[in-house]
Amino acid sequence: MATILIIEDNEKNLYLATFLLEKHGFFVVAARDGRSGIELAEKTTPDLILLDIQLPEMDGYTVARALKSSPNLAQVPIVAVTSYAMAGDRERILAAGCNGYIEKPINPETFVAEIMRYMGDEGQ
Amino acid sequence: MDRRNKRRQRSMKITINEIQKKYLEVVENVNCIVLRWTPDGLITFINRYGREFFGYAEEELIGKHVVGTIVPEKETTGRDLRLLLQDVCRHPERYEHNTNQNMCKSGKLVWVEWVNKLVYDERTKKPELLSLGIDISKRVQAEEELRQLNETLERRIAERTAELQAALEKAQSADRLKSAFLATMSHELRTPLNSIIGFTGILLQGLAGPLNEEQTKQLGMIRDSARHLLDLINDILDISKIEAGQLEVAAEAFDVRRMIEEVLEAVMQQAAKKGLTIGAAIAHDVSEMVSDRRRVKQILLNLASNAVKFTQHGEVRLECKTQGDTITFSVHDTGIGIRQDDMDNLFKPFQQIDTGLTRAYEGTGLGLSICKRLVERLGGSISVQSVYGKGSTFTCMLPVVYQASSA
Ligand SMILES: Nc1ncnc2c1ncn2[C@@H]1O[C@H](COP(=O)(O)OP(=O)(O)OP(=O)(O)O)[C@@H](O)[C@H]1O
Ligand SMILES: [Mg+2]
Repeated sequence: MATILIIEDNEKNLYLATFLLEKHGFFVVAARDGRSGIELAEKTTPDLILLDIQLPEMDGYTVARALKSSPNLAQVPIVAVTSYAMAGDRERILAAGCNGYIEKPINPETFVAEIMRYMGDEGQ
Repeated sequence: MDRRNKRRQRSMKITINEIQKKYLEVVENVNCIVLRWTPDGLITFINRYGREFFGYAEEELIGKHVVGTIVPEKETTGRDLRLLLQDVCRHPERYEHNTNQNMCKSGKLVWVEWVNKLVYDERTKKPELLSLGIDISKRVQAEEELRQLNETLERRIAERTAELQAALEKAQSADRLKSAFLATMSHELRTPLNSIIGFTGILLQGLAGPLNEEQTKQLGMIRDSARHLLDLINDILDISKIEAGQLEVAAEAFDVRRMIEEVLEAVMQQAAKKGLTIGAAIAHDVSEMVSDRRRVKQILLNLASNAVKFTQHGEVRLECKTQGDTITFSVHDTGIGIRQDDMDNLFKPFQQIDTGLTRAYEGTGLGLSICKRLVERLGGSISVQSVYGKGSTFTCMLPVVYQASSA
């Protein structure tokens, strides 16, 4: 079973993503801020990380850079979730080391399929 | 012979006297100050013009020291004139031209430009200074006024520059505030919408358990309204960004056909509901363009959804062709059409044409104004042709390769 780490501060959106992914058979671990997200990633080495960009304190860009610089995690795909505030954000997201991004609000009909694209063979 | 000589001598004397008289007259009457003074500063001669100019009688000046009579101790500039005069006497060659302040009997200060020359008294063979002076007080005053005017002007310019700088900084910080506000709004508004749309979708997919028909119907309405709200938020944010000059555009190569397919897919359902035929005619040479994919798609989607929205019967057709550096998209419909008079207002924000039917069509009237601004931002143009009651064609021309400077 593939493990997905979700780093997201909004409780309802976290529940939403967790529910969708669990329904599709993924194992979900979650963190509510960047620092504990990085810790959890080190501990669990997930198959994919879903990262909210607008996080309190340590923002998503910083978290992505930290994750990518860790030798254990450099290979783990990161998918950013963003409300796409301003143009230029996308470039910044990719420059920070994310493999892709999904715009908020997420579309529950296509969300899981979109994520699987970044997982290669590991998704089921 | 002797008498003849005497007579000649007498007539020569008369002639010399006459010449002397003439010279004296010239010196006395010339319109400038003629002054002779000794190196110790004593006046030996001053002409009539000079006396009248300074307001002294002859005996009040002859034999008197220049300082204290026609020369003040100090200039208003602070220069010590006694020292200056000593220097003039010592090095007259350095003071061929010299401007200094002088003083009248009345105490009035004047500016005089002097030309000085060392001469020798014929009788005593002693050196004396011959000085010619003209009054330049008016010029000095004018220069002074000019200088003050310049100073005032410079000060005003400096003040004005500072004001403008402050205004600019204020505007810049207002701008920063605006973009921060937009970014925050964008995030804050989407976060709750994310869960509304998301959970409705989960429920509708039956992921949380089976639904009855009525529940499905109502949840469908919630989802449609939430999506509508999202469109509105996006439009308002877009127009604010455009107005604030903060719409950045990307330039990336993308497949035009694929994008047109996506646009059709997005309006397909709506068109099918109304029984409209929908299709695209893409010229064979159309392949890629370099522009902001997201924005080009947004423009076409706006035009296509308008076409579907304002058409009851018939078809909506998307056409695309390239010609040289320009790619042309047109969206054609057989809908209600637009009156000639209404054409002007079409691209203004919040304008919905009042057809009496307006309320029958949902929308805020932002779509076309955003389209127009986006098209222009991408270096292109948009136009419309319509026959009222028959249908409309919106045509949008864009550069095949967007260059930042072309916008
Ligand atoms: N294809 C069309 N046929 C007839 N009228 C049109 C067409 N497209 C636009 N209009 C008219 O122009 C108006 C402005 O269009 P616009 O797309 O800006 O606003 P809207 O569609 O009413 O609202 P919004 O796009 O913001 O949801 C419309 O309200 C409609 O009256
Ligand atoms: Mg519209």
